[in-house]
Amino acid sequence: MQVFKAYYKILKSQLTAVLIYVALFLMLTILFTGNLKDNSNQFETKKVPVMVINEDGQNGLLDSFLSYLEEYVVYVEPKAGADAIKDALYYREVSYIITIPKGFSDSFYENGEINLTKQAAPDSMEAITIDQAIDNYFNIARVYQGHLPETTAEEISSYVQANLKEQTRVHLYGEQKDSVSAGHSFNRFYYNYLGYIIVAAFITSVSTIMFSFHGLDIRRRHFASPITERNLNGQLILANMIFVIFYLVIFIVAGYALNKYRAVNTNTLLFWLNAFTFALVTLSISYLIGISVKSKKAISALSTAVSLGIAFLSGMFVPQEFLGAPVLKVASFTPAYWFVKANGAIETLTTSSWSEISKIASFMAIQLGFAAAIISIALVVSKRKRQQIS
Amino acid sequence: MSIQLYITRLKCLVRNKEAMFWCYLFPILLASCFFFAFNNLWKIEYFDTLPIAYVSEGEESESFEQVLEAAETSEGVKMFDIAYCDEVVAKQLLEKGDIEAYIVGSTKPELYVKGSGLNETIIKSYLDTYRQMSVTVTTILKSNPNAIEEGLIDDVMQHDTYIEAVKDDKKPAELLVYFYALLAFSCIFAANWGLDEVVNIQANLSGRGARVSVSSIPKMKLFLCNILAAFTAHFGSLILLFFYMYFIIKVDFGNNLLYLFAVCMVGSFAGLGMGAFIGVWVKKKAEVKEAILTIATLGGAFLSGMMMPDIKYMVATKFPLLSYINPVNLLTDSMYSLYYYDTYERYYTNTLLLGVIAIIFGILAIVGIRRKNYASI
Repeated sequence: MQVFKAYYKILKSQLTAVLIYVALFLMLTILFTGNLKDNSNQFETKKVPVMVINEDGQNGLLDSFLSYLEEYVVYVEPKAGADAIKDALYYREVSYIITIPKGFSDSFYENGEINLTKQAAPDSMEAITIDQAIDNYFNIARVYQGHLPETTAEEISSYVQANLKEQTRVHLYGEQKDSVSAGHSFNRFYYNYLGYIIVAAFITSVSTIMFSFHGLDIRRRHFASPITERNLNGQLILANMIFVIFYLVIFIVAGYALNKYRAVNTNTLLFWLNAFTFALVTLSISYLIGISVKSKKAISALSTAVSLGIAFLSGMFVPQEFLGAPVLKVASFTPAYWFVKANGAIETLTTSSWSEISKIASFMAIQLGFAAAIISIALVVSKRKRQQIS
Repeated sequence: MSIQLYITRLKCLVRNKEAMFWCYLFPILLASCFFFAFNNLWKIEYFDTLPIAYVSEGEESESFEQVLEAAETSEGVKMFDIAYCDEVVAKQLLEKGDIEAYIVGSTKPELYVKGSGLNETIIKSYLDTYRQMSVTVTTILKSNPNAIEEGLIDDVMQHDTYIEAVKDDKKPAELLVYFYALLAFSCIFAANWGLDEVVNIQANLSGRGARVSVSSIPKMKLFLCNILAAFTAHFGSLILLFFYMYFIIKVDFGNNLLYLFAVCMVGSFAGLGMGAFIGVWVKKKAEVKEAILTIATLGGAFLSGMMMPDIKYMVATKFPLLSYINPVNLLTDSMYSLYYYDTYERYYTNTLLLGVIAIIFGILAIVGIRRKNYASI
């Protein structure tokens, strides 16, 4: 088992890099899941710090509007001076500034043109929610105002608030228990991110090892040794497999331990199986890279570029439904796309009916297809290399 | 002679494939990733009609069906593709994934979904609006039965916008922060090149350094030529990145392009200075130096809020001094201030401070480099 041992000797030299990925990933996971609310199923609106600059003075309409908005925001004491206001936004004391210009209320009653103005931090996702809340309020108020002109601002406000409480009842199909589905969503998030780590870590480690084994002199030395080619490859495959399984087991155990809603059920098993499938594909990619590159330095470049590229495009970082159709088209030519898709399907899997599981199985089969294709390319490359003279 | 030195060094740098990849290609790759992955987050242009099913449950539902059929996005894309069926079939369709959701009932429609993604949220908020509006109509009709003739329905259907962005020609640019961060990080990445320059010139750090030390060229002259070459090559990467972002993926940097270039230039120098400083003064193995450099740049980036925006504000309020000596923070601050402020006061402060830091690093590096003699090495 000399080859097998040599594999792990080389792996040792890459261990720091591999362990850094493990540590980084686990740290980030703990950080992110620490932020997740306990009842992650119930969507809770985070209150946004907002500054209101009221140039229009107090009146019934504005008072009731501001008290309505309190459901969505926390008010921050307004500052004097344009610079102080911008500073507040810049240092993120507030994420949203509403200015109520002079004459807004009068204009509202007369269907005039004056609108509220806003300044929002450029990366504030909450801004959209606030925009909607404001528009909803004034749209409903406008209708009441138009057709029940004699009602007071307070009455309108109470109507509006009662109206906005009207919510559609949503039934989650399959009526999963909250804790079960929370466990699944954690797993989906966890394994999607894990995909990135697998790609980055495997290319760094496995490619480097394969590169070492495919140096011209090393290969010549191998030919001269009594170990057959089949034996050599067998040992390499075995070493690779053990590495993959060991690496995955670390993450599966960590993922299980970190999951507040841990449970072993069909879905969890499928998540594990899918991660294993993807690890196999990544292994084949790493092998191909390892035997095709010309220098070790290229491996670290490729590892970063390929892992980040794949993770961004295939929806490991940003959910697939947020990606544009053209991006997804391109992404579907990468195995990672099917890995992420399978994770999504596993999360929503509620019954163990064959039709649903077969869909997930087909996603995994596509990944294996990729692995087979990549391995065949690798075999061609390796054949070429064997015939190479210098 | 100086020109010859400069050109030779430039050739050396450009032929270093690895450095060229990290400096020229990698930022562009990241910019493309940001663009492809995040660009849609704030847009609804790519909306696809959602397949849903409707189960009327025997209620009078014609008007509700009409509303569903007529639903369109503001771009005129039909919102729903509706299949009419009974609940058993709807359930099967949902299970197979042929539809996103199904709706039951018409006066108080209820929604059946499989998960809680974006599409489900869209359908729900559409139904919410419908319910809210129908309550509005009922309430008004109670007190004012003639409201329908007064155009109540049209009024309800009309959706006005009551809030608009401040009119200062700045479109909301959610992605801009990411691109600024990328640009800032590319600037500070020059540190690796600065480190290289020092290693290449110091007799105790590399063979090449020993060789050039015995040549007749004054060391300062060589160092300045080399740093200038490194700056040229590095600034080239910034310009390429900038052009890529500006012309190919069309990032809107506003009207402050010259200011942006200026701060990039200062940032590139600061990066080179930082690398050179670490290269001279950290008397350890090359790997250790590189590790320290990586920690310094990544740590700086972390403290400037590139990984978690909240960190930046924490540092700014709790340890203000730290935010003024962290070159990455000064870089991002000058860039953000171009976006946030109409005046350039804050931009000048930050850029000036960055320049001062670059000069301090430069002087310290030169102090460490000069007057080193070895009898034997």
